[in-house]
Amino acid sequence: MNTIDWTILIASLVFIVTYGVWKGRGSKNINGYLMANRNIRWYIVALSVMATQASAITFLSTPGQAYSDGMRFVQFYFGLPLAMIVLSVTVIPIFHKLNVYTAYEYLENRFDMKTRGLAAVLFLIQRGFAAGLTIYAPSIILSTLLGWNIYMTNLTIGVMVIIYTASGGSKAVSWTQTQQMIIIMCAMAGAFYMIIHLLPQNVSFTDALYVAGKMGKLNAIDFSFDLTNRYSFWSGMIGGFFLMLSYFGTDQSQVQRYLTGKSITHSRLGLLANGLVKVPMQFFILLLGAMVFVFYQFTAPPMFFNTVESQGVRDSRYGQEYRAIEQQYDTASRVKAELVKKLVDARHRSDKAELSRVEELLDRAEEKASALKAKGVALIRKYADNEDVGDTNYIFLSFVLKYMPVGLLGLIIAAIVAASMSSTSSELNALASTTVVDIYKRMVKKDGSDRHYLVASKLLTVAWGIFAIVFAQYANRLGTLVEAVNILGSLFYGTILGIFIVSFYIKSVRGAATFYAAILAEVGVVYCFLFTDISFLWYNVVGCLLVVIFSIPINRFLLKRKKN
Amino acid sequence: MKKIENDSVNDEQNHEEPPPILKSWKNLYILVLGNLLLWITLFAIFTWTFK
Repeated sequence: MNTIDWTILIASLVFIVTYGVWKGRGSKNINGYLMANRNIRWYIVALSVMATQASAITFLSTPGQAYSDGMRFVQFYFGLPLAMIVLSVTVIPIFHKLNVYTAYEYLENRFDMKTRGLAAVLFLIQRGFAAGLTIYAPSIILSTLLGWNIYMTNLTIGVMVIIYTASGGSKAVSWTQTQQMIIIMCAMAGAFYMIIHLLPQNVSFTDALYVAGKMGKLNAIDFSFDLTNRYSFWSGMIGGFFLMLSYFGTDQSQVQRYLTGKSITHSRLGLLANGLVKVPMQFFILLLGAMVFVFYQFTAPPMFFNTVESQGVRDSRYGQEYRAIEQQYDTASRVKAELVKKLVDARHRSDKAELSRVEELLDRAEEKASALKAKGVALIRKYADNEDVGDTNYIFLSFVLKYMPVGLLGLIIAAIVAASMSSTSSELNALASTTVVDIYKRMVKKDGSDRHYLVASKLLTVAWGIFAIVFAQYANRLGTLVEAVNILGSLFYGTILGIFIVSFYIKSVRGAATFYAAILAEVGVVYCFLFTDISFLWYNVVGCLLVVIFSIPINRFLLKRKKN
Repeated sequence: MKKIENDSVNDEQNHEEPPPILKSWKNLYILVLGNLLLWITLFAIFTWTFK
């Protein structure tokens, strides 16, 4: 990065922080601080909801996903528009009419205080750790590829977020997210334009699509029904629907975003706009990755994009073996590049015989290159003594650093940091709200003044921010902790969703029954974690179903006992 | 007085008014569903065209 890139990066970040502090001024009471006086217009709500969901890792990892696995990941989002409709019909009017600050507050209206407290505590545990991860995940990639100090990167991102979130609260979060989304969109559009521009002169955009399609990267739809297939039309529509319902309906970091809407209309329009835009937006980001893949069909790519790991193995006792594989991979890539050029020429001439001949040769060359890469990755995993080492998250940034022009590089790095800040700010805001409204105000100090709770909210935003930074620093030392956090989230998410599903849809079930069902469900989930091989993603389904299944008989039993 | 003002603000916020476009919420939900179906169809055509 040169001076111009640094100037753009620093100017963008300083602008975001200053704008956040300025926009958030005047939040003199708890309603203003936590809910932006419920005065946000629908398009700001829509951008805020989108920015909260799209963390930095979305923009770093998604193009890499398309590079490695094609575009089938887009199907993961098919359930989102359906979830937006269901939430608009059911959840939004209820939350607005009850005038709640948090999703868990509603549970006390419907059930009792202990069910509310349980859901709030489960949320705080999972989201508290996740906030640290939101800072850590892009920091580790930026520090690896740019040579930045990881501790300073964590600290800088964390402190910038704390400054405007603690000073301006929800209003600052919503308004900065608008600016952050604009920076992100400009950077992504610029990167897309440059990738097409960097392709060889005789290769048009449709040629690039043709090459990507022939090499299996444009597999956006798969209608086959297979439970082991992670991304298909069916898993996206059904599994994605439940996941999005749970995330947008029960996670305070999202609920708080749309509850700041001026009215039911503005909150609904915000969610529905997200439902309209999210799927094409993800498609576009994945297409960006597919185009990076096409670019590397004409220019030999590195065998492994995580430079720290590849350099480490080169310097280790496996170095000689790894270098030999790298050399073979480089030769295979050059052979492949020649074949891809022939494929494009044959397409221009509409020479069908030549096309099928080259396609066959290309298939074989691709198989050879893939086998060599697999061999190299196996060696890296052996050296790192870690089966999870991969380079998907590093592909896009590695490409950006090497080929993006001055200025655009700074803008893309700014977009990645902005994306990290936008998600973290929503998380800190939600953590502070839940701690103050559901725990402190309800259980610790019930008779405080409005000013007292305002100060408590600000202090708790700072405290959760410090916790997130400390966790991010700790996560750097313990690599496997990242997976542990994902598992930790899945241990609680299903149970929280189950509580809300019972509250919304099974009107006869009362608070005590739901509370005991949730405790039993949590025991069931922990049992699955400790004593079965069930993959952790399924804990969400197990927890939710167990709450629903247990709550009905427990409710009957409790009613019967009361009558007796 | 303050309570009356707050109540009127809440009424305004909780009032279910029709959306600014398409006259009813039902029509807007159909638009979101239609948009999803359109994208799925386009993705299917896209996948089959470049396979």
